[in-house]
Amino acid sequence: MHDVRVAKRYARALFETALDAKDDKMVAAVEDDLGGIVALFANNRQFRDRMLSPQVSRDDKLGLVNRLFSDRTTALTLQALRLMIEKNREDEVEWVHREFARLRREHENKIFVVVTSSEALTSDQQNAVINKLESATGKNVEAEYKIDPQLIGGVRVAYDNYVLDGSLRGDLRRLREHLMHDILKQS
Amino acid sequence: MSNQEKKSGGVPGIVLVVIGAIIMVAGMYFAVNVHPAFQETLAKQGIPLDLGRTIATIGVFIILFPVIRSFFLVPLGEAIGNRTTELEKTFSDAEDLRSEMKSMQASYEKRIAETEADAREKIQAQIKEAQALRQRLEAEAVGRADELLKRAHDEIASERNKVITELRLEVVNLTLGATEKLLGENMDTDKNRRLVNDFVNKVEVPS
Repeated sequence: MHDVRVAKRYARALFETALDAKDDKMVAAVEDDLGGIVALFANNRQFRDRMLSPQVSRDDKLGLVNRLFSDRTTALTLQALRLMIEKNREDEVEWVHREFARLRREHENKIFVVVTSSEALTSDQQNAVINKLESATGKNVEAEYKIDPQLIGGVRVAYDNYVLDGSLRGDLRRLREHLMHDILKQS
Repeated sequence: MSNQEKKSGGVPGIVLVVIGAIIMVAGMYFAVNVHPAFQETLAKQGIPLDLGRTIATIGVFIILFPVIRSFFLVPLGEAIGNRTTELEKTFSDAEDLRSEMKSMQASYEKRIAETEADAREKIQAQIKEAQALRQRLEAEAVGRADELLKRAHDEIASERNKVITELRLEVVNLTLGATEKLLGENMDTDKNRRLVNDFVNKVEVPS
């Protein structure tokens, strides 16, 4: 059963350890490692089923992790992953990764922004959006770009608890809500 | 006896007895010892008058009179008096009883009249109460009927508004669906670029 508090504790311990390391790139390396493991969880069903199955013993899971990641990840990441497996917290890896990234952005005074558009944005458009957000928030922006044809046109930006919807889909949704509000108000 | 003699104002009985005894003795003595000439004359004429015996008989009557009065007339008078008193008492009791009966009759009649008046009053009150109840029930029935009618009207209006609202919502959905389709068909890269640029220029970013 997923427990955000547990994931946060693991992520904070891992982040502080990576931050204290002599290597300045340890934080980024650990985050990349976690991202790779999460991607493997998401894309490799066989790996995922094996890691999350209660019928597979802990030693088998540790052996699998050692074989797959011992020469591909940092020792700190591997140690954290082994600890999570020993504590039966392997299903928290995705949330540990999210929380780790959040802590890293917080440490770097960055906000994470998801920019969704109906078509791929050009680099100029991406820079324009990022510059606008950085000037308004006063923070550095780390963006993830997504393409969603359902937006029809325009762009939608989401960060923290805010959504700035400049898409035609959003306009239509607001128009629909406005009309429905008026209709229901009249009835 | 003496009281009665005093009341009657006559000679006491014992005196009469004594006088009667003297007269009787004197009459017997006269009848035995004295023979007057006129008695023989009267006897010859067919009238056997013995004066001494007559006097003695009078004496006997004088003796008998108080005796009879003492032993017969007085008790008889007393009995008659008692009887009269008893009758008078009986009549008085009967009169009292009749008065009491009249009083009771008057009381009963008064109570009957009061009961009838009370009954009439209660009947009138019950009639008024029944009339009030009828009016209240009629008013309630009318009110309930009005309420049902109003509710029916409200439900009809509500259903009508609901249908109209659903129709309007359906029109909105159809219109927006068609708009969405038209927008999708007419969207191209240039228009999309303008939209992105407009967003960047106009968006208000919360800090």
